[in-house]
Amino acid sequence: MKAINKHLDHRIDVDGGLEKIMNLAERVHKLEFRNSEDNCVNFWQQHIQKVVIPSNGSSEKNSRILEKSIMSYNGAAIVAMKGKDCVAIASDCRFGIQAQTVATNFQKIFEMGPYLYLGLPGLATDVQTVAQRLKFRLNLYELRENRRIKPKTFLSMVSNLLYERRFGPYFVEPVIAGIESKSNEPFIAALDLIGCPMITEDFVVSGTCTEQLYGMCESLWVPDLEAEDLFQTISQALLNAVDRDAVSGWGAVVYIITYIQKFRCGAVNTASPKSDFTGTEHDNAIEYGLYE
Amino acid sequence: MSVITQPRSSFVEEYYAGGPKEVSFNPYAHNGGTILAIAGDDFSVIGSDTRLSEGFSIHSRDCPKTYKLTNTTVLGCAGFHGDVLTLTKVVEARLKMYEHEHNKQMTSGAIAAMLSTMLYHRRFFPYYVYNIIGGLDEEGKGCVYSFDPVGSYEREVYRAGGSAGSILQPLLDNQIGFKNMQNVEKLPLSQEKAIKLIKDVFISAAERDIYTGDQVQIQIITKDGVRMESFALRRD
Amino acid sequence: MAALCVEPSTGGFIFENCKRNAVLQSKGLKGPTALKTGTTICGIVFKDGIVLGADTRATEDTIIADKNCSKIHYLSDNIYCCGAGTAADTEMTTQLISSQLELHRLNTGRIPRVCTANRMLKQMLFRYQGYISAALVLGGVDVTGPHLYSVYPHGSTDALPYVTMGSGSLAAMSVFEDRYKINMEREDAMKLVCDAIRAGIFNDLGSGSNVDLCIITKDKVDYLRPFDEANQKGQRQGDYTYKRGTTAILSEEVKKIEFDLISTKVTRVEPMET
Repeated sequence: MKAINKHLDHRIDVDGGLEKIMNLAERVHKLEFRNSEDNCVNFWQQHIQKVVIPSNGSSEKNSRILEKSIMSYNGAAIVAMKGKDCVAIASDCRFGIQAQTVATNFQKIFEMGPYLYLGLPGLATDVQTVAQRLKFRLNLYELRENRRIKPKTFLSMVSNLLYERRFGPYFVEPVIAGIESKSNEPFIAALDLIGCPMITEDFVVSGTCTEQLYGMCESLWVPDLEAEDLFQTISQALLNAVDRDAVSGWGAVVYIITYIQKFRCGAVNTASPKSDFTGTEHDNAIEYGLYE
Repeated sequence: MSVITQPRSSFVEEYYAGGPKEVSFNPYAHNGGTILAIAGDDFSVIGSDTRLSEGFSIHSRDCPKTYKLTNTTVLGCAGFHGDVLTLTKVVEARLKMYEHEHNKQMTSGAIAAMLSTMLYHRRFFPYYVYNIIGGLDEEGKGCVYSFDPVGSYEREVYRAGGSAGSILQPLLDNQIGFKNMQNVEKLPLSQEKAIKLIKDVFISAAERDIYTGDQVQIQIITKDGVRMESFALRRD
Repeated sequence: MAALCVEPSTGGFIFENCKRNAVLQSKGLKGPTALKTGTTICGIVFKDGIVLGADTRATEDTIIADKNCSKIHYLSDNIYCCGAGTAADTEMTTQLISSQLELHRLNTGRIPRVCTANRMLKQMLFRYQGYISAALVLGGVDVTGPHLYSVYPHGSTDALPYVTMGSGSLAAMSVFEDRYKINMEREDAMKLVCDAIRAGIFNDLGSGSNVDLCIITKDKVDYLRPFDEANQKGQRQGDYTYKRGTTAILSEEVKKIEFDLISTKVTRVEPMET
């Protein structure tokens, strides 16, 4: 309180002592208005609304939420990362209608196979439609080919589905994370809403807080993270990013997909019974729920 | 800045005669740039990149956005460079007047209060400038004040602003605010860590924001005065 | 099979969402932006063939979405194509023409000519009246020698000895106008294209990261990716790995995954001495 009073004192001092400067500033100010009187209202409508942005420190393009973009109508944040012989994909859990939160357990990551996960941020109706259409196409593929789809092939499938609707798109920007079953190579990729594929070697992000996620991932991610460390990194990236986004958050879910263990069946008459099986068998996909 | 002529319909322009032609004029430009300030116990650091750009082109690779106001206060401004120049000029003039009048320098808190009124004074034709003040308060503690373009302001411990503000902010929350972490020791922030952190977040911002790059200039404010440090960023 | 097919494959674009999207947009919801490649791409003809060059940045508004994307697309073994504009459009257009060229090759039993690829591209782009926003630099060597074309989104094309496209085209063209000569040596041509792309990378904010080159000669293609790493990420000074257990967990579930037995092998293991 004392500090505030001090500030006020200073301000009074300043204002009292600097009438001349103030007047000068006032004149310049008015002049500008007079020159542009006819356009004055136009300024207001066209520019002030754009310039005056809700929270300080955010840039012009961040007013996307105010502009009511279709992509941020429901809100979502999805990120996928590569680790050493593992991949992780994470999403928030919020489902909202603009600023109003409707549900906090909304599914945005879909299992497309034991080692293949798909994250779909965007307009919720399209999220579910696209997930179902893709599952349908995937099932047909696997029945026809009698084998599991490779993540890269799946990427093409998603890409084709979206680009078919180039001129009337689904409002989703999918993220794919998986492990290539033969080579055991981790794989992550993202697409834009009309299906331009993007394969990366580090991380991909998508949703309403991509900027925040990019900032976190660019600083946190390092190559060859073990599964447990990858979990910490991706969780921290997501949680801190959604805290700076009004339309995503409310808890998160993380999937860690680990390397497919190679099995070695030893002979039974070995000295150490432990060497019968090396490699833990099936613990390949771990699902975590996080505190907000 | 640009003047755009908009005929009623581009398809029938040739056959259209008479009537008013609407001419709109945009008084603002967006020149990019990122600013960031962190307050420590007995210091504060404020950094900015040095790129000045518009649209897809770079105007300058050496245009820092921090302005030293007094021995204990540095102002960071990003947004429309024309407004930045005017605003800093007027602020500096008023600081000088104050000094002559009162025979002392203005404190960081008072400068913040003054800046707020100056910004709100232009409520309906604002300075298109995002301001962050880094400095020391009257007790010698580090302080950071952040503003929106029309003068809403608050004192904080750390704040990023400008074109890559939203890229930087969550990492500051995490590393300085210890957000979303359990079982961590909440050590007070050292000067070295703050400087390291600024460099690292600007590296990240330069990777992803087209308007951030070339160089980051860091001003370190302690009771001994203001020290400057520079660090190269990518130039593409 | 046809009875099974809930979504019959018609080929071509689907417009089922258009009406709904128009309604959403009319209610004041803003349409989203697709990934753009604010790009520098270029190509030149040199003594023995063609050099194509591209940067590797893809942007979404002012944010860099992909730092190392590939903008030189394969059309056939002797023809490559750089793409600028909407990323999905350049990607899909070149894929489509590539498959048509391959069918053409199989039908005719001849190596496709560059003018064929050019005609296919311009006819397709003209058909879509510029709505497919792909600006291309097409280059290749065929039985009649090296050819270089630029293809604009509306379907017009140019055949020139040196061309540039994309948001960095002016920066790149200034380098070409300064230093291009006819019948250049391979090394000089590569250097020139690289410098043109670098001009785009450093002076145009829509272009960035690395330089990719593709050198097409009569009997060989060298796709150099990256040819030049014009920019490197800065060295991080701090360590941002977390201690295990830093993130609070609500629940944890381990999914058992059925695995397919691919092969079994029994090996004899000698008992260990303890």
